[in-house]
Amino acid sequence: MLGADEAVTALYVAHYRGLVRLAALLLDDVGAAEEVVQDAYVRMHSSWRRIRDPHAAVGYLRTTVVNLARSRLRHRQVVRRHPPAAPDDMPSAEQDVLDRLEQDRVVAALRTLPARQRECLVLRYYGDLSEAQIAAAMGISPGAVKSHASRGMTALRAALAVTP
Amino acid sequence: MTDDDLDDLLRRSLAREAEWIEPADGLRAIRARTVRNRGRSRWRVPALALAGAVAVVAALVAAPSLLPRLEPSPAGRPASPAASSTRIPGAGVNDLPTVWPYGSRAAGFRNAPADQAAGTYGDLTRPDQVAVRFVGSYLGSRGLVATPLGPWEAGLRMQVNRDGRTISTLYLVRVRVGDDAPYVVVDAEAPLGLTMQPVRSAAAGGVLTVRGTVLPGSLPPRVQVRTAGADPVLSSAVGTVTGTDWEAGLSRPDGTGAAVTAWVSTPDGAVRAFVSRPLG
Repeated sequence: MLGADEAVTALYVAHYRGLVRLAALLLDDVGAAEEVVQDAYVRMHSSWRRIRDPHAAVGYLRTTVVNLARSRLRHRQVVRRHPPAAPDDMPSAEQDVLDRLEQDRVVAALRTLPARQRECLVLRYYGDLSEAQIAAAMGISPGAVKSHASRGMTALRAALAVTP
Repeated sequence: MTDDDLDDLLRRSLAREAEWIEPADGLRAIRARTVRNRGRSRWRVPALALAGAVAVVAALVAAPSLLPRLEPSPAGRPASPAASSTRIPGAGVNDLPTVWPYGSRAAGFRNAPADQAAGTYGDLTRPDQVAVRFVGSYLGSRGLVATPLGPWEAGLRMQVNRDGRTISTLYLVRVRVGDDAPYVVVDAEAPLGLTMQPVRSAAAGGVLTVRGTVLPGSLPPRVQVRTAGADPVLSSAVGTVTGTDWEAGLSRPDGTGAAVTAWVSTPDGAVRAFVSRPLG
């Protein structure tokens, strides 16, 4: 079994970038995302002896990142005074432009969702995790994952003002 | 929109958003903290894992090398949380040389908010406006239209047409993460008819030789050196064409943050190709 130092290095190589991206989607702040992910690695390092299955380390890291990101959001004292404005209409029929504007709207709408709903959707649609993996990462039941995801998609659809 | 459509849209939107995020090297910060936690330094990095880490860090630093024009800072970004707070994505490309309206991405990060508020360069959050304004600063904006060609490793590409003819492809990056982040122009290349070899530094005040190729029978390109984002021309020349090669000698300006730009026109004055490179 790898030692803690070796494990952290190997896991850093394999997963650091992806975890920072995941955290940034949850936090909307890359600097904070990097700190959160580094915190997760440091915690894993100190807990390495208790992680019996090295293959579970990625799940441990992911769970820690989600929890730390959630904690950051909860304790964030600075309220964003200027929420991102809706993108301007761009007078172009180019599909690229339309796609980009639509994707901007989706991300902006996602950021308005409650944290749990947002976590579910980011883990599912960015992380490509199964319901069971999302449940493990968030520390909730698979049923709760379904509920949060469903509510999140409903809210997202309403925010985008689209109908099924 | 069906559920599947919304699923797909959400997946693409998150993937695109994540693409902008390039973390700095965090391994040193993690290592420092674990060592500190133990109170003694016994960090052992296995050679193989270290090699892998170095490879990944190098890959992050060199990610824009998919486009070889980018020459990332060899030092990259420090791994401290304070450094992370700059929020500039792309480890190692913070000091990426750019051509407009700033001489580097880092300069854009520092100066763009004030210029954006003052409207100095128009709306820097609109890539189409940035593209037209940049090319227009040389050619005049009459007849210029910019349309996105899609994402690019570190930003996006914009095609610039004049009177319906493509004259240049611009590469833009954001100065930081965020949908409201200003864009800067990294460089511009011509899809056909004009190339310009990467410009190498020369001693300030010395002669700067720029070379490239043109289509057979083309008029000589006009070449200018300007401080990024400024209108005054620091040095200009008309290239000498030999066959399909051209060459021009210009004065190398003092300091950094300049761009060298060339374009070719038809005898009736219609611009056919436009290129620009940072003067590294």
